[in-house]
Amino acid sequence: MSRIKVEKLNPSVKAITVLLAAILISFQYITVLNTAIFVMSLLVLLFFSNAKPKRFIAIFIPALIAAFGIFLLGLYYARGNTTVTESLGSLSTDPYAVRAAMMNNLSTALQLSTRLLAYAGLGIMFALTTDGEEFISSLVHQCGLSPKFAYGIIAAVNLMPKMLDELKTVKLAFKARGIKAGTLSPKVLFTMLVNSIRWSESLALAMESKGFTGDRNRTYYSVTKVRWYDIACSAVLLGGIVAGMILLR
Amino acid sequence: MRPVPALEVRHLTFRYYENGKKNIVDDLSLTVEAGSTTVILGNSGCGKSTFASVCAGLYPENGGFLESGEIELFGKPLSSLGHRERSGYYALMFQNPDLQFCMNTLRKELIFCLENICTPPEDMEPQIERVASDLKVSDLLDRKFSTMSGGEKQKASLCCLIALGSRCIVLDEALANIDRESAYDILEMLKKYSAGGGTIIAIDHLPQLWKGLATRYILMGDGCRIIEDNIRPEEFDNYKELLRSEGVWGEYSGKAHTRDGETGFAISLKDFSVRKDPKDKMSEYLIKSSGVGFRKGRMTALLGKSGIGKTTTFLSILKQHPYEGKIEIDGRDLRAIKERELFKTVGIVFQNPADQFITQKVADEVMAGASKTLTEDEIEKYLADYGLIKKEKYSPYMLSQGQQRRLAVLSVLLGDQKILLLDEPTYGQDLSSTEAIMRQLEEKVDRDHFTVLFITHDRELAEKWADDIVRIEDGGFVS
Amino acid sequence: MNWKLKDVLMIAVCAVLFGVIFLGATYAGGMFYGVLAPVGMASLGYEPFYGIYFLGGAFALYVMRKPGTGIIAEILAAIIETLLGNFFGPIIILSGLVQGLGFELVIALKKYKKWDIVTLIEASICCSIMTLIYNLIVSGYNKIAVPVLLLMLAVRIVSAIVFDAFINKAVGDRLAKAGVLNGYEISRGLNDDPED
Repeated sequence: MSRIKVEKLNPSVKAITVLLAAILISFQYITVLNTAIFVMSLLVLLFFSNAKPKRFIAIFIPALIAAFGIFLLGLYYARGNTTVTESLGSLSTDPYAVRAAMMNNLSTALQLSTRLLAYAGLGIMFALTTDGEEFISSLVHQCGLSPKFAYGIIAAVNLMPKMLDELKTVKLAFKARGIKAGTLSPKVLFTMLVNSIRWSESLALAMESKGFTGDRNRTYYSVTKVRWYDIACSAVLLGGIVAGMILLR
Repeated sequence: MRPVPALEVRHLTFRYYENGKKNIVDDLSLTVEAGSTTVILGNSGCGKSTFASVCAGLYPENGGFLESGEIELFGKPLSSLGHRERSGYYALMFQNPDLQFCMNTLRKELIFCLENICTPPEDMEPQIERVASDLKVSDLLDRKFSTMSGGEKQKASLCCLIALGSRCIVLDEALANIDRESAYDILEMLKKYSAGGGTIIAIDHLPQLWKGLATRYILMGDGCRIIEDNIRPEEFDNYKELLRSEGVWGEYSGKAHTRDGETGFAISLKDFSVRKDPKDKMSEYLIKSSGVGFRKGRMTALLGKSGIGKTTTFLSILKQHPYEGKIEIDGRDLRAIKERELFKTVGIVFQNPADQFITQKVADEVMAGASKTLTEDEIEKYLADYGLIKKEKYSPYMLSQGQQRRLAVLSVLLGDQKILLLDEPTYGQDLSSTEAIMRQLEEKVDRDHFTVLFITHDRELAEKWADDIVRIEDGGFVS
Repeated sequence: MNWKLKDVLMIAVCAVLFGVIFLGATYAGGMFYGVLAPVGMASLGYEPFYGIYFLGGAFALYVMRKPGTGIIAEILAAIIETLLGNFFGPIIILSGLVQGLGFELVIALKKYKKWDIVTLIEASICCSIMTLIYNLIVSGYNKIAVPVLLLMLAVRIVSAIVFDAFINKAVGDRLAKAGVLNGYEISRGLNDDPED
């Protein structure tokens, strides 16, 4: 295994690189380039990260489903090929005409779905190689995020286990009182919001009581830094995409 | 020259609404000597918790209106101190152990605290290790808070305040919701802190816990009006009558209970095992192959340390947590009973009453719980019985904690369910409120032959009101 | 801008609630996705839940009513989703920005003074249109036939109106009436003293 790991890169630089790459990707429709970016992301994950296969699958499957959805959308309803939309009604009566139109749309379908996969590849690469707290800390040090927001986000995310427990209790309490209430029912939403608002008040008091002011005037146990290789990796990725855009056009 | 007091409050008046009429803290003046341990007693909702937060400057910064008053911490006006300096003088430990941390482990939370007070990074690690080993919580440092019991979380919380170097630690009913064993551990930690010169202010409903540590008790009435300013521990017994008549604390009144006659089991667990994590079939057993019966038409108290499986047992009885072995409700196998049918037989009151309100008005809430349609007069009468007089048009969420709890109990009691499960129905309640709730349960048992099963940490409460006491110990039920 | 810690926490905790719990419950798309796939409309399966994406910003703005709240709340929500492992990673911070802007634009044009249902409906429509424009550029939807896009937009608008205008207002007003939001702008003049 390589000693070079994506985990070591500065999270903010990583995030900005992914964002810029996404913007670049949105300017082109080169299926090969999109596929290359996606495959590159997977290879990087495989050889240069400690990402767990289990987590990868959990996050990759929804991406794949979304990509397949947009593939179908392109296949059926690409612009400029209105035959399909018009013949939708005749789908059963004239399957050959539909199929012919679909072939024409295949390239659009691939363009759209590989683009989504390119985004997802970069997104997954970020998600699986970035520690949440380190990302937030890096947003404080590199992007000027105020500690008030930083610790607010961390505290809220750490409240999640309690929130899930409480949601279960609320649904059970309703059921026990003879009320059918799914997670999406406004009644459950209301009760959970009451809890959430109360919790945020209590948490704020507890944090302030521990001397938290929210300003930048504090010490930091560890400070994330930007190093030459962060910039280098970013430049290689973005340069590669630009080169691909020019060469594969 | 007299020594500088830890806390000096002069003519403090605070209310939630600028134009409101009711003062939560009404013209309070109080001095707490440095190095002392002061226990503040008072009814639920008398304003003592708010008072403690006002002294930390948390209010009015986070709401409310301070009409008048001066507060000094160790001789320094509160207004001259920022949160950072304040935390060195005065830090609070709150009642709900789940809502005190912003990080997910104690080590990270300690780092957060030390960063707040600008400790140099290189000093943090040694300080954390020292404070954790002093307080014997080193084993908690890297455990996720979400896997800790309430008692462990409160120990962690105290550890943070001590790491902050606070010269005065204020416990806002911080021991109310944890088992006695953990409470005693925390008191041990506090003893050490006190011996090192620390000042302690404890707001609590259980004065007897503080025996041996308290140097002074204060009794407060509504609006934090001081009824007795300086009860010395050695003369505490002289004030028992007063505490009792103020409804703050005392021995539970009424007869000790055992109902006569033979009766069958409303709920019986046979060869019952349950695991900690409902989703993980390999997680450890909380209860392993144990059996117990809860008698019909009786009150049973379920005791045991936090996290030992009390609530999980309830969830199993409600078909919400997988179990092995057999559960019988009125002799019928639980597995053969449909959920909808079960909830017509078994009612439950949860720890957080706000979780179970289904309407926007107190009167509607009572109506929604009732098995038959009630007239306005009937509702009014019920509300009066439950100390919720003139509240029918209020939103349930506007009630105080104690009132919410009583409303939750009331709306479940009016239903048809003959078996009631209550998860700590009296948590955080003062004597009068506790007695009100227990009396209503008792009445249901005596008059309508309900079966009541309640979880509590209060042994005296269990002894007074329950026919049977069941403890969960070492993975099994002990009657 | 002067943000209190409890305001930040409120936004963040609600973002977790909407973003994880409620959106997670619909990870669904699946609910409609499968049904719509055979006619090539699988992507339309996500549209009915779009309103929940906007709810973080819409709710915070409706409760706090101060400039920037909607945008900041959406960005916070997006950062939180990034932390929790959304497959788009930091790219959703961009969509969060567009969503926040889209909703707040209408409110800002009315100088943060109008909070009636009509304004919220307008904001929901504006937000839906803005996010569709985002999709045109970023997701490549400009390659899709216009009637289909209009259908998507229509579903998205309905979803946004349901969640961000009607449910948002109903829940916000009820919370305020229940005294839960005391101290926030939405409660100004309400429940001045429940003890009387």
